Order: sequence, then C-alpha cells, then structure tokens
Amino acid sequence: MRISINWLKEMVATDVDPRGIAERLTLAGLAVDTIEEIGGDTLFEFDITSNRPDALSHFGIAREVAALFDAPLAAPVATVEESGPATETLTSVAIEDAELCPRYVARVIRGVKIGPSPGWMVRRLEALGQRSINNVADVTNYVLLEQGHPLHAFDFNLLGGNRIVVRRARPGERIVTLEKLATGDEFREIELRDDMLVIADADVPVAIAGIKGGKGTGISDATVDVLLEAAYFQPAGVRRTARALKLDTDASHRFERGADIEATTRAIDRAAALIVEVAGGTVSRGVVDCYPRPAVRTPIPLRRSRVEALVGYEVTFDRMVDALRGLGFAVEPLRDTEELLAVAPSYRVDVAIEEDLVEEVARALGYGLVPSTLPPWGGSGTYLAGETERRAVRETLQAIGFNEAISLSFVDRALDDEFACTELDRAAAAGVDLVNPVLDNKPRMRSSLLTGLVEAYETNAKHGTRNVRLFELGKRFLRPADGERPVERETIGVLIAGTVDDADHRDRRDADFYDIKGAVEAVIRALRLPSFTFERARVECLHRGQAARIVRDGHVLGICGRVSPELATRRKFKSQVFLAELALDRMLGIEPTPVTYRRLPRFPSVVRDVSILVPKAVDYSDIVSGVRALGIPDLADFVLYDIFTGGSIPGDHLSMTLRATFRSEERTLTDDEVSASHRSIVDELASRFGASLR
Amino acid sequence: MSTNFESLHDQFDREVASVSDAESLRALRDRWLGRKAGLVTDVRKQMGAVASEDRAAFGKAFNALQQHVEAGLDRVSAEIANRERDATIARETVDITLPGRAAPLGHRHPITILRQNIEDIFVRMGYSVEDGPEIETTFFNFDALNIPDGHPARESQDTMYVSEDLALRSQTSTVQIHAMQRRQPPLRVIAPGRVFRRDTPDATHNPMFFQVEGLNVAEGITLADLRGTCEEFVRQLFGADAPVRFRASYFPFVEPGCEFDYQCFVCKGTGCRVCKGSGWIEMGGAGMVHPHVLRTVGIDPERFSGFAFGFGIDRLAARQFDLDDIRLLFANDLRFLEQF
Repeated sequence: MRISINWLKEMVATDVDPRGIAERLTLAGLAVDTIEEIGGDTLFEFDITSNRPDALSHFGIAREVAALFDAPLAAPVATVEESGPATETLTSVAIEDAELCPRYVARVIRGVKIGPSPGWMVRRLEALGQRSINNVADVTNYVLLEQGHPLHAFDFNLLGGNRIVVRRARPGERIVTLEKLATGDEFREIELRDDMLVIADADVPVAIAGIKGGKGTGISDATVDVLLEAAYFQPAGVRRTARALKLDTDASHRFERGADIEATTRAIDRAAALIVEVAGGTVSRGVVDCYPRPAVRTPIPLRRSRVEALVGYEVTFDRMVDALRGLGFAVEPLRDTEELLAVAPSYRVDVAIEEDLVEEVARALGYGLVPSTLPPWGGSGTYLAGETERRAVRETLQAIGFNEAISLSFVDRALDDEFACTELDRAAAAGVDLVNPVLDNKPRMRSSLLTGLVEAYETNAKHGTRNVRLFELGKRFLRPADGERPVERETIGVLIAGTVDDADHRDRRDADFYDIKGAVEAVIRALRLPSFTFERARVECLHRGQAARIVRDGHVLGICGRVSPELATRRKFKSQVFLAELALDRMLGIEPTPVTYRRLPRFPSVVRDVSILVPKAVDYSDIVSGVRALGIPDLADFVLYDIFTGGSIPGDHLSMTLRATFRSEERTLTDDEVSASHRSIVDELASRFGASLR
Repeated sequence: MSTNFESLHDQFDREVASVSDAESLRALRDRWLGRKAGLVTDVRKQMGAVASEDRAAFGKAFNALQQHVEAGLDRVSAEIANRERDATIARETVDITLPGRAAPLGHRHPITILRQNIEDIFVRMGYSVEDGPEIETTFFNFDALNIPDGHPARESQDTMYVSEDLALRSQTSTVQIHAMQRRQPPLRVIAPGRVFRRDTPDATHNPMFFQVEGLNVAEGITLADLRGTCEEFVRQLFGADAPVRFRASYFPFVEPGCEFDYQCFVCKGTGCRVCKGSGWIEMGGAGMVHPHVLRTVGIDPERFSGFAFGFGIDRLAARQFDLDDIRLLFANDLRFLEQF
C-alpha cells in the first residue's frame, strides 16, 4: 500500500522528516518497505500485516503517527449540504442476512454530471497507482485511499424499484461484473452460489457484496442520480466468496480483514460532499442507515503486573493508561488494583484479549525499551535421538569423497515410480501426491531419495560434471495400503557415477558395483551395525546381475546396485550409475556393536596364500563360509587378497588369491600344523567349488 | 738405498687426484696400501735395511707417508660417498608441487553446516533439539497455532495439501505444539527442519526451505529473555557482539509479536552494502507464546509464560555465503557443493 506524505500531513501535524516517520512506524509494526521521493512528495510503500486493516489508508496511518509522536490529528472534514426530499422517501434498504451484513448505509445524490475529475484529484490518484475513471467513481476510490472504507456508487435510476436488498444469491443467479476479461473488452459474467452475499435491487443482484459491482448498474456517462453505499460485511463471508470467485479487489482486501463498522457514515458523508464538489448535484436529506445489529465492544481488562510479566521491565500505571488512550482506546483506570478496562476503538478489530493490550502498550512505549536478560536454567540440552549417528554417517561419507545433496522433497511422479522399491517397502505402499503442487512437473512427495539424486546426476552431467558422488539424508513419504495417514521414513540415498580416482594421479578406473557396496559398508561401519549380510536381490530399477539387499535378522535395511540397462537407456545416461538407498530409521533402531578390547596376540601368525581357479558362478561368500565351516581352530582370518580375470584365465572362470592367517592363542604353530590346515582348505575348495589350485 | 719420500707424496697426490669413483678408489687403495704389493707396504719392508742411526728418521718419514696416503684415501672416499648420496637424492627428487594423494574429501551441504552450528549453540544453552512430521494435520499446522479456519495463511495458495486435513508443514512452529504436548514446562526446545510454502522458485524463493523454531516456556519468561537469548545466539553464531532489536509484527501464535533484526557488524549500524543501508539485518519472527496456544496444550498461561522465535537457515546461508540465487541450495550442482 502506498501513502503520500503530503496527503498524510494534511491530517496529522508533525515536523518529523519522512525517514523518521518511516522508522518509527516500522518499529511499531507498520512496516515501510520503500521510500520514494517524487515531484515534491514522498511516497511510502507499506507492507501491512493482515491484523491491521485499520492502517490501510492515509487516515489510518495518520492516526498511528498521531499516537506515536503525540501529534494533533485532524480527521478529513465532510460538510454535507443536504436539500430536497428525505433519502428514505427515495429509496429503502432491506438486510435479509444480518449475519453477513450487519450494517448498510446509503445516500442519494441527484443531478450529477459525469465527467473527468479535476486535475488535483487525478494527480493524487495516479501518484498512488490508481487510474482515473470518472468523477463519481474517482470519489469512491479517493475516499478509500483517504479513509480506508470501501464504497460503491450505483446508477440510482437503473436500480429496479430504486431500492437495495442485501441477501444471499439465489440458485442459478448470474451477474456481469465490472471486471474486464484479460482477452479484451468483454466483462466477466459470474454464476453465483447461494452462500454468496449480493447487493440486489428489487429483482436481480447488482453487486457481489464487498467485492465487485455489477456492470448493469455502474456509473456511466448517462448517470444522473447516484446511490452511494457504505456498508460493513462479515470478513469470513467476503473471504469465502472472493476465494471461490478468485477475485481479490481493494474492497475485498479490506472487508475480509475487517473494516471499521463505525466509519461507514463518516466515509459516506465525505464521499457525498466530494461528489457535489467535483460532479455537482444535490444530496438528499439524511442517510438510510440499516444497522440491525449494532456492534458491541466489550471492555478488556489489563493488569500492570501482566504487562511487566510479559515485557520484562517496569511500566508505570500512568504510562499504560496514557499509551492506550493515545491509541484511541477508551480506558477506565482502577488505580487501587493497578488494573484498567480498555475498550478498543471500532477500527482496531485485532485487539481482543489482555495480551493484545500488552502489545499495544509495548508498541506505544517502543520495543527498544525491552532490556536484555538470559533466563536462568538448571538443565542441560540434548540433541535429537540419533544425531551422533547422523553426524557419523555424514562425516564418513564425506571422508570417502561424497558431497552432501539436499533435494526438493517433491518429485516427478513417473520418475519416482521408477525407483519404487518393493524390496524396501513400496510393495505395501503408494506414493503421496499433493493436492495443489507448486511445480506442475513435481506433484509427488518423494517415495525414494534416489529420484532426487538421479536428477542431480543428470543436471551435473549436463554441466559437464561426469564424476558424481552424492549422498542425501532425508525423509521419504509413503502412503500405506490401509489408507492411514502418510508415513515418513528417514533414509540415506547414495549415488556414484563416472570414474574413481583411487587416490592416484595416474590410475583412474570406472566406478563399479564394489564402489557403491563400499559406501554402504562404510555407513554400516560408521553406525557399528552388527551382523548384516548382502544378498542378491531383484530391484526393479537395478541391473539384475548387480543388485543386492542388505539384510539383518530377516529385515531389509537397504538396497544397492547398478541402474538397470533399460532405465539407463531410457534416461540416456552417459555412464553407469550406481545407487544405494538405506533405511536410516531402521538402522537407528538397531543396538550398535559395543566397543570392546581384545588382547593383542601373544604368538606370531603364519600367512599362507591359496591361488585358485574357480567358476564365475561361485559366490565368494560361499567360499568363505565353506572354509569357515571347516572349523579350523587356529584359522584367525580368511579373506580375498587378489582377483584376476582375462589373460590365460578361461572366460567362465576367474583366478582368486585367498589369504589365510593362522594363529594360536597358546603357542607358536609349527610348520606342519599350518601345512595340514592349509591342505584341508585347498581340498575343501577343490571338492566343493571345483576350484583348481594354480 | 734411500727412499724418496717426497716424490712418493707427490706421486700419491697426483694419482689420488684422478680418482673418480669407488672402483678406481679401491684400485688406488690396493696399489698403495695393499698388504702384499702396496707401495707403502714396500717402503715399510725397506725399514730393516735402513741403518740404525737413520731408522728413527726413516720411521718418522714413513709414518708421515702412511698417514698422508690414508688421509688422502679417506678424504676421497668421503667425497665419493657424498657424490653418490647426492646422486641418489637427485634421482629420488619429486615434484613436490604435484597434488597429494588421498581420497578427495566430500563436502557437507551449507545448510547442514549452519544447522549443526545452530544446534550446537542451542544445546550449549540448554535447549533440546526436537523434530516433528513434515506432513502435518491442519490441527498442528494451523488450529493449535491460533490460525483459525478462514485465516489467509491456511489458504491453498500458501500451503500445499496432501488431503483435506493434511498439509506440508508451513512452519516448524508445529514442533512447539508436539513438544508442549509431550512435556510440561519448564522446557527449552529448538526444532530445525524442512518447511514448505507454495512459492514459485526464483532467485530469492524456494517452495521448500529450512527453518529453526525456538521455544522457551517456564515461570517468569519475558520479552527481555527473548532479546537476551537472541543476542547470545547471534554472538555465538557470528563470534561478534551485535545488539538485537525488535520490530512489532504479527504472527497468530505469539502476542506480543515481533520481528527481530541484529545490528550489521560490517558497518556497526551506520549502513552499508551488506545491510542495504539500514544498519540492521533481518533475522526472523518472534514473540511471547499466545495464551490460546498455551491453553490448547494444557499449560496455564497465568502460571507459565514463554517466548518463541523462528528464522530461516536458507536466508542465513544466503547472507553468510553471499549467494546470488538460493535455488542453488537444492540444485545439487557439484560446482556449488564443492565450495563448502
């Protein structure tokens, strides 16, 4: 909202410069966003919070300035010269729904001459961004800017029966509004619902109450007699109708926040006087004031002790009283108890309870008076459960070269479905769709973190960044099949693509399955999760030969593998992409392996390597568990040392070197003992896995 | 027969000067000190034939010769060893300006960096970090926060819904309600997390961002405590003292309500580019918890009072790192992420 300082100063006398006024208003809650100096005037652009509709006009701001600077206030003068017949003999107002319209005031001005407004009015309107229409319409806009109360002017002679009926629309009723369609000169026609309040004449709706006038009864060059409306409409009703019709007008903006029900007569008098001034005519005698339910404002009690308890500094009783009176409150002080009863002025629709009065006092005194203290405390702070583990995961992944991603929680539905993973939990759950997404192409709450990471890979590839190592910690969203409310699962997503440096300047290689598996293992180690296994898995989005699930006690903790060739082709991936998704919420529920100390070995160990040729179909884990099952007592360790394919190795085989470490806790092992154990390993490998010694 | 010691000295000096490597040094050592046919050994063998009155002089001259030869050989030996060591070092010299070898470190997201900082500060100040669902019932997102039906903030142009009564939380203030339902005062809570608003993305808006909500409810909590707490937080976050000021404002769940700014510590309040000339930098919204909110969770507002505050981590990050476009925060562009 724009305010002209020159106009403002016609209503409040102060020598404070515009910057000083802007700063004080801003601190008091009426925020001045920008200050602009134009043609000898200064314009403030305000950002008024929705609780202060009283400040949506020059007079409203002037009231506040007068209170804050203790300056004299001059309300806009309206001297209406009435003549001719009494208004109530010319027209009548009937309110059928006093809930939605508690007050309707009308005046009739006869014999006006419609034409352009005088220059001073045009300039004032245009400086504030309001286009000049004609003298009568301009007056209603002028009074709105001046006093904040929306008015409407009808062509009196076009009102059927020359009267006003305030009622709900009847089913099927329509109205052509004064709103022009974006396409051209056509006016918008609206079909009304029966919960919408309209202003009607004897027959049909002539305006949507508090929102928009109808075209049929609008002011035109042919208008001679004018009926002026100044009414109060219930905020919720105006808001409901304005939203339903997608209409946001200066009038609805004010009515839906709460207009000043007592300002109706002042505004209509001011407008009538101005119309006579700029368009001639005579104002008929008296107003028709239909006010079936006069507003009752209840006194609100305020204790001095309550003020001090909330603001944290001493406030004298007199200062409280003065502050509220300055802001227009009617105050009844009860000095014995240092309490007061305050009745808010009719325009302060936001003040309802004691704490609201505390804020008024604090605003008037200035928030700058609030001292700075630290509250005493005897307890200690705590992190969210699992925060140590979350930080450990982040640090571990970071240490092995992963950058942390944060993706929008909403995703493309089709892409999200690509990563729906039955191994995790999508079998029993669907995605969560937004009713009103902000991005049309992202209407789904992600059911997988992989969706965002894959999009990140594609974005980076587009920028020429081929080597991508990303992870994200966040929630995914699932709608259980039983229709219960969506569940949120804390999850880790990991993505690798491109080449792996292997920490060497000269030796680069393409990422493969074992890189993603390594990342998963690093996370598991960081969380110190006990006894888990990798098992072959069928995951829709992953390569059938390079997909695994991570299992513990029969529960799947996550999946990892390479993106399926079909998906990679469809998405036009330029390199192989490896993914992992881990159920962090489940992992955090597992008791970690405690840190324990084992004595260092007292006797030397003996290392023997076994190099074998095995068919590719044999799983390494079977080899290890087969050897472990032999129960060799002094076999301390048995691990892969080296693997080799190609060269002289047959295509369906691979060469594996396994390293066995023998050690006894009681004595030094003899060469014969070690050789015997070694031989039993070799025999087992040969007989069970068809391995031949190399 | 007399021995010409002088010419032997000269001869040795000539020969030793031409020695260039360990090989020729060994040959020279054999030629002069060889046990059987060394030139010095030969001289010693002549000792018996020297007349007894000359023997002392001969012996002295012999010792001098022997010491001269040994010293000469040792000196050259040391020279050769030095030369070889230098050669080895030269051979093993590397280009120390080549990059070091270690797995490249990844980077924390700037939001995470700030979020962890903020959590650490408030935990030190006795606050507990809490969390709540990101998909909330309208009760927690609106009603309990004193945002009644029909309030503009509830409208679908501001809030994203997944069903009629479930919305993406539009502020972390929802966690206040969960925290106060779980525990009675005194309580100190902060709740960092994702929130969602229906803003079309541009350089200064994202439909998702990160907020931190703070709540302190106990007997006797005042606006002064809020101010002191904000100032202590700013001091710990930026490592500089900066006064905090309140501007009256409106949030339905606080009364009195305000926005809080900290004084720009680049210009100390005189106005500069960082604070856009105002001397103050906007931080967030705050106030005293509204009595309706306290009553909703069964806390007696006559006995307990509390302050609440909220601010955006994204905006803090944008200012701290001077970001020109906050969409970068969620674009996951490695060229961006690797800078933190």
